[in-house]
Formats: sequence, structure tokens, C-alpha cells
Amino acid sequence: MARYLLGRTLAALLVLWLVITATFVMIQAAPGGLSILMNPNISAEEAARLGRNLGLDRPVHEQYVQWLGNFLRGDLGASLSYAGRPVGAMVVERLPATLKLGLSAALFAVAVGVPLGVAAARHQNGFVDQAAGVVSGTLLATPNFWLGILLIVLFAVQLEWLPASGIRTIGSRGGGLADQLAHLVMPAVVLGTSTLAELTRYTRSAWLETMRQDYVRTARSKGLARGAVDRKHVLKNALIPVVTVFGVALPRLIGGSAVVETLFSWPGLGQLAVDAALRRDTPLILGVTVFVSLMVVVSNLVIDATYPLLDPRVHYS
Amino acid sequence: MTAPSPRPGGRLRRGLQLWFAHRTAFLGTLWLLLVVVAVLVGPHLGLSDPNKIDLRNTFAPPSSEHWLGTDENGRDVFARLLAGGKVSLAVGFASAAITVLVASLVGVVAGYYGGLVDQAIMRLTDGFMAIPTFFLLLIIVSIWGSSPTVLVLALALTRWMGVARIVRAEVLRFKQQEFVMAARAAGVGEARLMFKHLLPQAAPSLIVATSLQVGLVMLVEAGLSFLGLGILPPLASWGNMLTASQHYLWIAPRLAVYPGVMILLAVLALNAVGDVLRDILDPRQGSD
Amino acid sequence: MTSQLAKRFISTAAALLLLPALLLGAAQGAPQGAPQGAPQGAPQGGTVTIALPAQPESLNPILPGELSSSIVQGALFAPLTAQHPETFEIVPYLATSWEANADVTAWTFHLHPDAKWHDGVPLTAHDVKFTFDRILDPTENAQSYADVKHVERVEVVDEHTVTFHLSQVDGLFPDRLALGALQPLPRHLFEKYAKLADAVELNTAKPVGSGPFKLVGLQTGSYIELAAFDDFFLGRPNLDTLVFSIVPDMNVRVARLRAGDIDWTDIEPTHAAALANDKRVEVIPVSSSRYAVLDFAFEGPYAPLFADARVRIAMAHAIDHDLILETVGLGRGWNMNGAYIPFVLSEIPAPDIEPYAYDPELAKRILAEAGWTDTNGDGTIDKDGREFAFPLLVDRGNVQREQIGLILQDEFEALGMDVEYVAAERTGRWIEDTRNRVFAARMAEFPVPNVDWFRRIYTSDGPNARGYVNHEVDALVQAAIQTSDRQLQGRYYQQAQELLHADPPVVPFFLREQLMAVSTRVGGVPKGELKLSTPFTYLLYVDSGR
Repeated sequence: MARYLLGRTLAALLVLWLVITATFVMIQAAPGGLSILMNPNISAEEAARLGRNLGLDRPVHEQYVQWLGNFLRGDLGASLSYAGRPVGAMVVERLPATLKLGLSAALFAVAVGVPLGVAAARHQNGFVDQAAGVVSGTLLATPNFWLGILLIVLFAVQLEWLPASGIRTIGSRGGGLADQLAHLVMPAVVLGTSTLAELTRYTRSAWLETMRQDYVRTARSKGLARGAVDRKHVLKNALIPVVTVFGVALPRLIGGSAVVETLFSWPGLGQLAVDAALRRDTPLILGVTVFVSLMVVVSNLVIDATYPLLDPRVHYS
Repeated sequence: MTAPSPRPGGRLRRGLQLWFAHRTAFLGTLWLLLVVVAVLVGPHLGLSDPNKIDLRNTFAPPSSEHWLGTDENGRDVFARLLAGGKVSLAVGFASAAITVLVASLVGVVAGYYGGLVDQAIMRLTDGFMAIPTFFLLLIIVSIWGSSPTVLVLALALTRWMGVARIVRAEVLRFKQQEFVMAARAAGVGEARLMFKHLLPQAAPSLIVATSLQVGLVMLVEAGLSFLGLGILPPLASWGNMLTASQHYLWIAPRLAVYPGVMILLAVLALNAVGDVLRDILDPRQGSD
Repeated sequence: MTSQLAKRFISTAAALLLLPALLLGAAQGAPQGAPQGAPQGAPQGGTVTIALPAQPESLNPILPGELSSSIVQGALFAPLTAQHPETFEIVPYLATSWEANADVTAWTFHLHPDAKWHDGVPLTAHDVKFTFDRILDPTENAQSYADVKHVERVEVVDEHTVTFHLSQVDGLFPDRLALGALQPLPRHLFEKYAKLADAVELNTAKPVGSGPFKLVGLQTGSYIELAAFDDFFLGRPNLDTLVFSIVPDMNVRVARLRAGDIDWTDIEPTHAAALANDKRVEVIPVSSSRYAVLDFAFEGPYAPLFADARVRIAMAHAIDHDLILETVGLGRGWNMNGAYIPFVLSEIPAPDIEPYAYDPELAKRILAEAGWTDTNGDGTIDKDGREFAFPLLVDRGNVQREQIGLILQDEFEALGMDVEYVAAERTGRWIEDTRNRVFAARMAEFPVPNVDWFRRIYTSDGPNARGYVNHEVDALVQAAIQTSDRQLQGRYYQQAQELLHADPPVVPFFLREQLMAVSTRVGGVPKGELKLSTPFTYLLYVDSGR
């Protein structure tokens, strides 16, 4: 086990290095540059001067090596667009908001999606199945910015039940638990809907196919109560594709959705990632990428580790 | 016990029965066929030009000349819906097809061989997942533009990893099963084992994945338009029509309804059809 | 050769003939329109929330930043001179008065004696000198370095008097100071840093300014909270708190306005309809000094198409400005009618010109006269074997310019041209093609907040020049710079516009009427753009009785 983990860790570092290099190359290859230099109201000479002062006129490989050197010392560098703010601090300060939103959305998706999928499978082609398909389909099918605007107009403007956007009420009145929850509801629902729909359908599919497995039929024919058969034998096995889907969705949820965060003024990592990309702020892009890479690697590691627990027939050679 | 395989004729009959029974899927299939025919045939019917501007006739309500009215530039909305449908559906299907093909190949190879091959492939997959999606799409579009072809490839590039992991997970489950052992003992070649015995076990998930991917790609394209990428005007797509309509939400809200409803119905139909296809083609549908 | 002679002739003539006027002009003090302190008797206390489009890049006005940064910095840092948000005149702020020397190569500013920094330390001429010494160092990365690099030295005359010695004549120096990015910084806090950019905490989290509000809290990506500065030299603001809330999406801003979450935001005409029936929100039109243009190439592979002025005039005749104002601007704005300086800069008299009326048939005739006809019957006009085909480069992200671009494509194709609509990323291909001068025709937006921007954009050696050369215009602008007599400057610019009209470098589109949406419970709101208005937030008050 220790060897396996060591191997995975080394592989993860290799992947990280490859991703960083690829990202660096892509930034250089794309037209345009740091957005504050691309301001049409400044002349080309001024843009060159500002770029020189920020160290952007150095040869590309020199910039790359310097970034790597700093990174190995634990320093993610300073943002070029945000007046030299340390990238590490900029990423870390977004974590609480991002985790709050991502985990809430994930919880929502699992708590509603999995039972819905199971119910659909158990009443295959029945009303629940078709209704679940329509409901999850409708949620999945609505572009999230459209759904977001609809919810905001309905719940914030018309009904005035929920705040329109933001993470909390500004000032001393806000910040309490109820205030935070009220601000969390709509963005979490909007963020979670596509994952919810995916989970519903994969759960239904996996449940159905596992129901048809031989050993289930054998257990049933032995007269075990239907409930007992369902719970013990079917659920764990059926969960593997579901867990996989969840594992793929998790970095996406935690990494944040730029659309949802932009719409709801949620100060999360997704918004930062989009902002950094649009500004071509190399240190900031790399910082976000490092973080997202770590999340992806860790979550995939965890998911892979759960497969043998769910289905004893799975083992890694 | 060997992998189940009922008589071909019985299978077709069962399939059709299932299809009729699932009303949503049935309606969905009909609707999809209608839309596909409409977007292919529509341009040749001599309807209004979807790109023709008429500034004196902006935001016009539905009329006999413009069945769904006109948009902010006086262009015929119905014609643009058809033109946009062609683009959105084509991008969705093409992208999903490439995604699933690449993912199947990668997933089954990784799952079957295990060990170092699996590790190498999976770490490559991790790498792709690690690059922030928006950033990757932005760079690709900056360099190569955002024609439908580029988008199809770019979107597939950001989505294949998830499906690959699902395929691999399924293969891992069935790798040790008896019918696989038996086939191996019988001397079946590795390629045949992978593609004729193991991959079909992942079929249910793959079918769900394909139908999901088509819908998701259409939605991602809309999201990209919202953030400034995506299919660029004046070429129409349901996604960019929806985004453009956000600007005129308070003047002409119906402009947002049409593309939104089309996307909604398309994805619903695809999901339902996907579910039914999955039920029909499930290799484990034996005698019940 | 001729242009140099012309320049020398004009400047000599101007100097000789106008010497008396120059002397009088040099003695000019502060213009009218000095801002008053907070009105007496306005209700005290309360909070006003303003919407920001994005996270500010920095809280230091000297370092590079975009619109959101400028808006917030306006409330935190006092500029020497300010531009009045409604009249666009230059008004006193930190400097109570100023004057130039006889040959307009030195400007002396008198600072307000009560000015203090947010930490209580008095603001003196030493702070001004310190700030400008840093700005003038090209390695300091000051975003406005190019605007003031003709300052040779800054002299501290006494605690509240500072003189800028210039290396060339500059009648517009006070105007430059009002454009932002040149507000003084506290010397006692910054002097220990080798570079301004090293003071990361001061620049991004704990700024110390001299403006009406000081920073008390912020959450990156979410909001910035300011509190009234009791010792503000123009009088304590009426409000207790000013909050900037970051709301990128326009529809969400409308929702929050209607929910009472936000009090003041800029708004698009297309969204104003949502607020028409809301009694708690008022939509106020304000002046703007920016207009969209169709910019022609005078260098690069497509330049031969547009070299002949008749071609550009013909294309101008093919554009229906009234219809564009109606459709794109929803009627909110004013056609420039061939002028290049917005009428809001009222000291410049309007040029005496005949705008190019919408007449496609005339356009086709002019093109034919210039040699452009369809000789090979393929539907596109051509001349000497070259087809009139070009890409129209449109910067993505601005709905109005994208729409105008589509309309132009339609109108030009009606003339027989072959126009390809290319939507490009603003900080990517659009700016690259512009800087490399390989575009053919592009959509752009020109800001002209003061006449100096006219020089920047339309003279052949201005920092924003794109290859257009018109020596007579250059000479007129030179002459205008040599004098501090506003009236004379006005006449020079008037003539320059008339010359441009005859040989148009761009086609200017309508001057947008900007809209502000303001909650009716807020009073004292300056009727101008946010960026120009935030220095005047000390005038705001909350009338909860409304």
C-alpha cells in the first residue's frame, strides 16, 4: 500500500510539472498579452515600458525557470495585474467561499440525485421514472446562467424571499449563519443541478444493471426479502459508476463555476480562474492551475481507492 | 454463465416495445427527428435569411412574415432558430461522438491492462483534468478562432477524461468475471477481449454518457457564450442566441424563451432517448 | 519641409500677435465652479451602496488599473484638480488655485491648508513632490508617466505651494492632473519603499489617502467598505459609510436595485426599461465624452483601399446615423455629425461643417468617380485588379459596437464591397492588429475627456496615432499647445476638426447618453459618470424620509 501511494505521489508530481509547463507554453503561444498592457489608450512604447518593469521582456525560458525555482521554495509569486499581491494568498483567500459553495452543491446533488435515480430504477418506465427523467432533464437542460437569472428574478425581486447575490450582507448586520445560508441557497442549487441530473441518470442506470446480475437473482430466488436484497447487495456495486461521476464532478464543483460565481458575485476560485485567464496574468494562472491540479489528483486518488471497497472483485494489478 | 445474447428478432421486437412504452422517449425521438429534418431542409425552403438585417423592424412580434418575430437587428427569429439548431446540434453530436470514441479507447485500454499502463494513462487523464477548462478553451479559441470545428474539438478535449474514467471503472468491475476468464482461456486475442467482451459491458454507462454529453456540450456552448467565447455572431447558435437575449431581457423577454426552450426540449429528448436506448441495448437483458 | 516651416510660422505669428493675450492668460487663476463643501443642513449618517463591474486591481492610483480601480480610488485619494462630472470643466480640489508663468513652462499650485491624510498627518507640498518624483521615474511603473514626462522638476516653494517646471510649453497641464492616476500619495508611508509597487499592503489592503472616505474593510471579489473621513478638508461627508459592491452582471444589478440592495449604478438603455415603473429608483441621463468610431487603416496591406479621401467620404455617406442611434442607442445619445470633439467640452466651438448625409446612391457615384466599379461582374467593386474586400475587426464584449459593426457590414455590402465581420478578443487579436497596424477597418471607442486626447488620437505623432497624417491639423494642434488662452485654443481645435472632416481618418458615431440608476432615497448625486463622480461623494446624503 505504501509503495502504491508513493508511486501515485511521484506520478502526481510528474503530472503537475507537465501541466505547469503546458500551461506556460499555452499562455506564450496565444496572441495578446497581459491585459493591462493591452489597453488601447496607452501607446505601444508605454506598454513596452510597463512590461519591462514587470519583467515580461526577459526570455521566456528564464521566466519559466524562475517561476519553477520559486515554486519549489513554496513561493507562487506575485500577481502581475493585482499590484503584486502574492498569488498564494489570493488563491487561499478564495477557499472558504469556494468550499462552502462547492460542498453545498455537491451535497444537494447527492442528497437529491441518488435517491431520485434509485426510485426511477425501481419503477422503471413507470411514472416516477419518467417524471425523474423530465425533472432531472429540465434542470440539466437549462443553461445555468439562465436558471440563475430566473431564480434571482423570482426569489429576490418578485417574492423577496432571498438576497439577489453576494456571499453575505455587507456591514455589521450580515455575516450570521442565517444570513450566510440565505445567500448560499440559490448559487448552490444552480451549481448543483447539472451534477444532480448526471447522478440521477447514472444511479438509475447502474441500479438497473446490477439488479440483473446473477447473484442478485440467486439471492432473490432464495427468498431473501426484497428490501434486504436491495440494500445489501445492489447498492454498493451500483455505486461505482456513480462514485466515478461524483469524483469527476467534485473538482469541477470545488474549482468553482465561473458562470455561477459571476452571476451571484460569489468570490470563488472559478471567478478567479476566469479572471486570471482573461488577463493573461501568468503567475496567477499558474497558481490557480497548481491548486486545481492538486485537487484533481487527490480526488482521483481517493475515488480510485474506494473502488475495491465497493466491489471486492476490483483490484489493481 | 456466458454473456447473454437473445435471438436477434426477439431483441428488435423487445426494443420497439420498450420504446413505445417509454412515452417521453417516444415523443422525444419524434421531436428530435422533426428538428433534424427541419434544420436540414429549412434553408432550402426559401424562408427568410437568418442574417438579413432590417433595422426598421426590430423586436417585431410574431406575424405571418416572421413566424416568431424579429430580434434586435430585425433578423427573422424562426430562421435563426433553424440555423442555430443546425450549428448547436451538429456541435453537440460531433463533440459527443469524438468524446465517447476517445474515452472508450482510453478507458478500456487503461482498465484492461492495469499496472503501469493504467497508471500512465490515468495520470495523463489527471493532467488534462487539471488544466482549468476555461483557460484551455480561451487559449484554443485565441489561437485558432471559434469556428464550429474548433469548438467541437476543443470541447471534446475538455470532456473526454470524465467518460474515460467511467469506462475504465466499468472495465475494472468486469475484468475478473468468469466469461472474460473463459474467453481468455479459449485464446481470444487481447484486442477482441477489450472491444468485443469488455467494452460492451460498459455500454449502458456509455449510452447514458453519449446522450448526456450531447446535451452538456450544447449547454457548455451557451455558458461559453455568456463568458465571451463560444460560437461568435453573426453565425447563430442556440447558445449565443440565448446569451444575446440576456441583454434585451427587459425589452423583449420572448427572445430568451425561444432558444432556451429549444435547448431544453433537445436535452430532454436526448436524455429520454438515451435512457431507452440503454435499456434496449443493455447486454445484461436476459430472460427476466 | 513645408510642415516645419508652417509650424514655425504659425507659432511665431501666434507668439507675436498674441503676446498680450498670453500675458493676460498666464495670470489666470482658478476657473469658476469650485466645489463647495457638503451642503448645510443635509441629513447626516447612512450608507450608500455603489455597484462596481469588477474587482479593482489596486488601491494605489499611480499603479496600473482599470475602471473599477479608478472608481474606488476617486473616493479615497484627492486629486490636485478634478474634472466636474457634469460640465467637464477643471475645478479646484486639493489645489485651491493655480497659475502658469509667462511662457507657460511652469505651473504653480496652491494646496488646501487643511488637507490631511487618513492617518491624521497633514498633506503638504512635500507629498506632491515625492509622488511626482516617483511617477517620473520610468522604472516605477506609473500608468500616467507618459502624460507628465515633460515635467523636468517639481519644486517645493513652501508647505502648501508646489511648482512644476516643464521642459516644453503646456497649456493643458491642469487638465492632465484631473484625469486620475496622478493623485498625491503620502510620503511618510511610501518613502521607505524602493519602489511604490513594493508596498503591497498599502496598495491592496490598507490604503491611506486624502479623499472624503477611508477604507475600513474589504473582501476580494465581493465588496469594499469605506467610512467617512472626519477631517476631510472640504468638510466631513454626510454619509457614515460608502460601500462598493462587485456585481459584474447587468441583469443582477437591475435585480439588486429593485430589491433595494444597491443605490447607485450605471445602467444600459436596454435595462432602463425594467426600472421605468419602480418608484424607488430614478434613471438619470449623464454626459459622456466617449464615442464609437469606424477607424480606417493608413498603413498595412489594406491601406491602398482607403488612401483616397473620396472613398472614406463615400463610405461615410453610406451610413445612416439616425437609424443607428435609434436602433443601437435606443435613441439615447447625440450624433456627432462629423465633429471629433464631444460637445460636452463646451469651450470648443462646434466646427462649421456639413455632415455627410445618408445617401447610398451618392456614395456609389463617388466610389465610381474614384475608380471603383465592378468591372468583372462578380458583385464586388474593384479597381486596377484589386477587389474592395476587407475584414471589419470588431472588439468583442461591447454589444453596441458589435451591433454597429453588423450594420456597417450590411451598408457597405450594399455599395458593392465585400466585408468580412471578424469578432476579435479585445486584449488579443484586436489590440495586436491595431498596434501592428495590419487591420483594415476596425471598430473602436475613443475617449476625449479633454482636448489633449484629440491630440493623442488625431495627430500624426500622438501616442495613439495609427498612421493617419495631416500636417495642417498637426500645425493647428501645436499652436493650441503653445498657448494657455482657452478661447484661442478653442478656435484652433475648431479649425482642426473642419480639416479632419474633409479628409476623415475615422467615422465618429453617436455620443452615448450614459444612464445612471439611483435610488430615490439618495440625494446630492452628481449627474456624471461614476469614475468622475466618486471624488464628489462627500456631497451624498441619505434622505430616509423619501
